[in-house]
Amino acid sequence: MKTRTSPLRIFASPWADAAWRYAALLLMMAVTVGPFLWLLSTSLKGPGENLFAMPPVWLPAEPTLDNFVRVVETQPFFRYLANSALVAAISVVLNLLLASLAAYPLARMAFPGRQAVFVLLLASMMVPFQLLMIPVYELAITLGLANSYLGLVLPHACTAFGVFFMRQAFQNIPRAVEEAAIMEGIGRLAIWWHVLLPLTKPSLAALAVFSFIACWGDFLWPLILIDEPAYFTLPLGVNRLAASFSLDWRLVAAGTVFSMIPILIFFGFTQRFFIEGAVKGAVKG
Amino acid sequence: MRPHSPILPYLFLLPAAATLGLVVIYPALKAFGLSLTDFNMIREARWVGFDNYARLWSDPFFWNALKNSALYVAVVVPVLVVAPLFLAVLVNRALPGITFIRAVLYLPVVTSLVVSALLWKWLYEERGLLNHFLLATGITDQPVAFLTDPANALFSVMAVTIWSGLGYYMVIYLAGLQSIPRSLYEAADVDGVSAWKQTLHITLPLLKPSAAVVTVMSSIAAMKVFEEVYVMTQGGPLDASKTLVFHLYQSAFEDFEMGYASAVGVVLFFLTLALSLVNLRWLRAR
Amino acid sequence: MSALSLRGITKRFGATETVRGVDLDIADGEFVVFLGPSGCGKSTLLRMIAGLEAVSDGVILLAGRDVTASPPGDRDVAMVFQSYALYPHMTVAENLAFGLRMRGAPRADIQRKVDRAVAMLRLEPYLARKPGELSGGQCQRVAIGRALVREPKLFLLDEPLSNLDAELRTAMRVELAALHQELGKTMVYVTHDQVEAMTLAHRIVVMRDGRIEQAGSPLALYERPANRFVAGFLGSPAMNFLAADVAPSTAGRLGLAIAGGRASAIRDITWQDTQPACESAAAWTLGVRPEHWQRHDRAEDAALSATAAVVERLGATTHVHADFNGQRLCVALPADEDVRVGDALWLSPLPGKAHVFDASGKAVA
Repeated sequence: MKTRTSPLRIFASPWADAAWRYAALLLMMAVTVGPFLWLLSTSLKGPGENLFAMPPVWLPAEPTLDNFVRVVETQPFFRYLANSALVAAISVVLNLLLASLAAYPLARMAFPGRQAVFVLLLASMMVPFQLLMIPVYELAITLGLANSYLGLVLPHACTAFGVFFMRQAFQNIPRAVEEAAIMEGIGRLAIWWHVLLPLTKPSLAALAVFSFIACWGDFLWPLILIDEPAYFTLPLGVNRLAASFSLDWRLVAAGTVFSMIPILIFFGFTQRFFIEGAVKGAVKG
Repeated sequence: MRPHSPILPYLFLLPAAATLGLVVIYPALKAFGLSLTDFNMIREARWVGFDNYARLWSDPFFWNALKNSALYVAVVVPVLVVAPLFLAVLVNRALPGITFIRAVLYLPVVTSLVVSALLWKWLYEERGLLNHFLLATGITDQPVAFLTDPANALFSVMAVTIWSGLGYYMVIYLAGLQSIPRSLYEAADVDGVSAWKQTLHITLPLLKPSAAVVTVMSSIAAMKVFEEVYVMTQGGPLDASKTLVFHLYQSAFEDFEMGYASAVGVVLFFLTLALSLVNLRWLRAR
Repeated sequence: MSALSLRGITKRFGATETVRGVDLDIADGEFVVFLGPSGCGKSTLLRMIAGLEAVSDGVILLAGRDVTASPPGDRDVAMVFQSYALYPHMTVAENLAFGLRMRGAPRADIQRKVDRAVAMLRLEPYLARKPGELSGGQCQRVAIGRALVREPKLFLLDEPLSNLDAELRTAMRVELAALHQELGKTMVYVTHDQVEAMTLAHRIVVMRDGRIEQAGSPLALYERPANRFVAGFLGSPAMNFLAADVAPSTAGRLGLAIAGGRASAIRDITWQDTQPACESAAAWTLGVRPEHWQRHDRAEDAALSATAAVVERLGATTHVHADFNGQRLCVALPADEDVRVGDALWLSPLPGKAHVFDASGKAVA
């Protein structure tokens, strides 16, 4: 039996316990959310306000969206947004597809070379992308994928982590359920699609969320692959903003806030998968 | 095992194997090969044997980067192993609003590192919010040059890495805490074991696997830090915050010394591998 | 022609053999139960028939057709699993239809077959529910329904009642028997529960260590077990085994008495010159079922005298566990029998009901 909360107590009284927990957590929340709020406030301040006033001005005197308008006018941020979304969407779909396909035989079939596949998968999890990026970059250039969506997707299209993650999920399905389908004369591909995938929806969702975040926040790979702004993703766009405007913090703040809105919405809807998924993936994987 | 068509497993594996082969296995082997050449993207690569490694050995920039990365791991990993544990203990109780609190603490994890780095760069400004606090509370009487003083830059960057990772490792510990059966505590209660002793003798030993995971993952993350450095300091001032990966990036994509950069990558690979193995062995042994 | 023929079926996992050369013919419409302790190979044998396990050696014929290498779906068999193995994400109706739908059967055909199974198993009220909302017994009915829908030549049932509680198990057993009666289809059923085997089977196949120990009708196995293992495995409480003494008998026959009991023979067996070593008493064992003891009022009439140690009153009968020569004997007595702990019990086997086993455990008489 699992507990939702382990009875780890510091104070004997439940009231004292709750009180000190809330106090400590409030402080930690200030540390995590504070910077975001400060940036939001900055992004809403008009040109007349002194950003560096001492003491700081917490709320904009006259909140304005001017900075956002200027950001979108000076740089194609909606284009960046679309690029980010497109690349992340393709990456997630590919990763789910390839990982769950490969996970099936690794979870449920015996075949020569199974051990070797495991070793290769583990090895590919150990290799840092920074070692790979030079050859992958050369490969992408050779294939004509510089400044292309496919090039951006390339390193995210399949992850060994995803394969292991889905293998774990498949192994949790009772063997007899799959055997029942086999007895009914259903082919393995149909079993994968109609039985295994529907039964691992939570894991698929968690993996989707993880690969989405990884791809969405990726910076190093787009940085070396892309030099045409038409293919910039949001992190590149934000970076360009910070680098190109002799650091006008109003604009940088607005651009950064802009780039965060989609992920905040996404996080709001999927936050339970982060916690659950991290739990599954981290402890097992 | 069941009989099935002998080629069937390979058909399922094929798409993933082809992709991973193309973007991981082949490039990994290629990288080792490149590290033995003077490849620079422009002319044909020439075999130079271990020249790149010899150059690393006598390259003060490399040693500086290695030293910075080592320091990075030495500071960031202990903090990320201990602090999230306390956070996890704090949120591991069904208090009203706890789901929201957990989500808020997790927020920096989903934020892209470029954004996090910019947030903090803004806080770190000479006349920014952080300096205001320090001056107002009298902790310092001069504004701190977080990113522009070579003595501070690396530590200021580390703070961002820690800030971004807290929530992630908190969740790993939380999972560990929640997988401890409640009956263990109940049995201890019946035996009259104090809450503090329960923590010491039940909770902490059973969290060891989680701690192992956190140590390995945070070590690798600290070793591979890039975005924070790129956005906040570009390795400066005076290379004070230049890490191994940033050195690799500059060598490869600013100086186009791909062969040399690959050698740095190979060193990075073996360092992360050694860190993981040492960590795992150390944690398993105890 | 047999519905199912097994010829020398062997299963090896590496160096260990879990099924060793099983030969068996099952007639059309027969209900055969594989019975044995866990690890005897009965489930592996069933899974080989299903096609879920590869056969290491031997041939499987289904209605004369060699299916040894056929995939499960091509064998025209259906299987019911111990864990029900329903598709958790589908409703009962979808569970029933899924196999046919995937095989591309015509819609009307599917509907007809599903309707028939639903009617037979009274599943109507559950059609829209998912397995998670059903009780164990309901799940198993759906699982049986899923097998029915296939209309296979052969039904395989792998401990289908083991996950149910005792009461439900009895009810489902009766239902299964009725279903077999109605369908008249060949069924192979695996269990470790001898009551299920005795009540359901036309023929029980008792297995141990990957081999068939004995196959026959339930009563034949009970009355004439081929060896000590079968004798001890079937019947509850289990048969008592007693060391034998040689006793005087008629010429050409060897008399056997209970060692430590009265010295007159309770069984005699044909004496053969080919068994000289077996003249020594230790080579023989006598077997008496608990229900085959009779109690005497006088010690002189009895074959042995035992002391009641534990008395279990079950209502219909009374089981007395009695000490005899340092051995525990189980005796089933009528419910109204007056026995108390410490009483002396003067017992002898009912005439002709004592079994004799030789040194290898083989039944001799």
